[in-house]
Amino acid sequence: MHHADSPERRRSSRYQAPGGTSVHVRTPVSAFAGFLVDLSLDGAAFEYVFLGETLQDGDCIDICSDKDQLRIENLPFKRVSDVEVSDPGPEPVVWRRAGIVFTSLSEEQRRQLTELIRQWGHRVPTAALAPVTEPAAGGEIGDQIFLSRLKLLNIAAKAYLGGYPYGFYRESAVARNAKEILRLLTRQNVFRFGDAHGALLEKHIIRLSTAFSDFPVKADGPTPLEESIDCISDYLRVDKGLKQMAFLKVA
Amino acid sequence: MIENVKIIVISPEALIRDFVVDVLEFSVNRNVVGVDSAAEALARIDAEGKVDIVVCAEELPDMPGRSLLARVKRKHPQSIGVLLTSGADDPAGAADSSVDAYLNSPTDTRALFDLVQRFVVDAEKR
Repeated sequence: MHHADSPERRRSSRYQAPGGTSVHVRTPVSAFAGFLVDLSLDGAAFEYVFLGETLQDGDCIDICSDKDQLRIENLPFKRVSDVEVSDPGPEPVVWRRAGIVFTSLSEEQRRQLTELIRQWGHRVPTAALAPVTEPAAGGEIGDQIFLSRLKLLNIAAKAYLGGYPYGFYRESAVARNAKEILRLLTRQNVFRFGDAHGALLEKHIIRLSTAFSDFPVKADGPTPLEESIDCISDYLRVDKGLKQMAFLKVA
Repeated sequence: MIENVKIIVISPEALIRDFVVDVLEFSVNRNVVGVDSAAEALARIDAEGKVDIVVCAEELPDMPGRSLLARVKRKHPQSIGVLLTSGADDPAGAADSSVDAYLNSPTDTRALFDLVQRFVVDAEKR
């Protein structure tokens, strides 16, 4: 989904990475792996299992596409966002999602990135091949907020359908959150990739957000809202169930 | 558990402030006030008489967040001060007595839930 006035934070278009595209983060003292979420010519988003080491500006990343038999090495980056995306509760594994902006790419690295995106089946605009300047730091805050709000919607929906009490203010907060997700969805181009999975996910997000924009909650059509929750839970990589949270009993 | 907990969130960044307000209001099922400046926060706190939890950005347009928390604490020592920091692992002045907790990532839903658990649900254990 893309609107002409959409305040895209990266200077060039971002493209959803196909499954099997991994990343290797190189720090001065170690290396760890994750998987690529999306990529543009000036930045990337990826998720990784948190092992106690946070990303630092100046670290480098390798992008490895087994399918395309392509490896792009030593892309220097600056961290823009790095947030946990695991479900609340005693998770055995903590996943984090990072947004980075590339710094000082060589011409060869830019050529390789362009080639990889083309191999994914996307047409890279010629204008995007020109050197780009670094986007303003912190520009990915909208991405973080969107994901965090989606997580809140997911938890709120599980709590509601699980019979937890909903008082006036809880309802108000959930309805505002759902409306804000719908607003952000039309302003961000998170899901403008057009593949089948992205379209299905967007449909479920819109469905769940619309249902929780007003109380009492009403599902549109016979499909249970749990189906939308499950789809979003898969995307967020969180459990489909709801962890015990004592404060949810307050109403 | 703090009954009818009063929380105020101060941040000039509307995206962050509104998100934090929504998460906290969902968590405690009570009205949570969001304002964008120290002056407005102080006026609201004076009008309320007391606020249980003050969640404040590190940088405000009219004074540093730490200074605001210190002013609130001088008047209401029982109030909890939470500082939203810019992601530093070891925030400067971590020993600041006016700050009861640091929130390094204000968009971290889990961290906000933990805050509610610690300062609202488990309040009597502190």
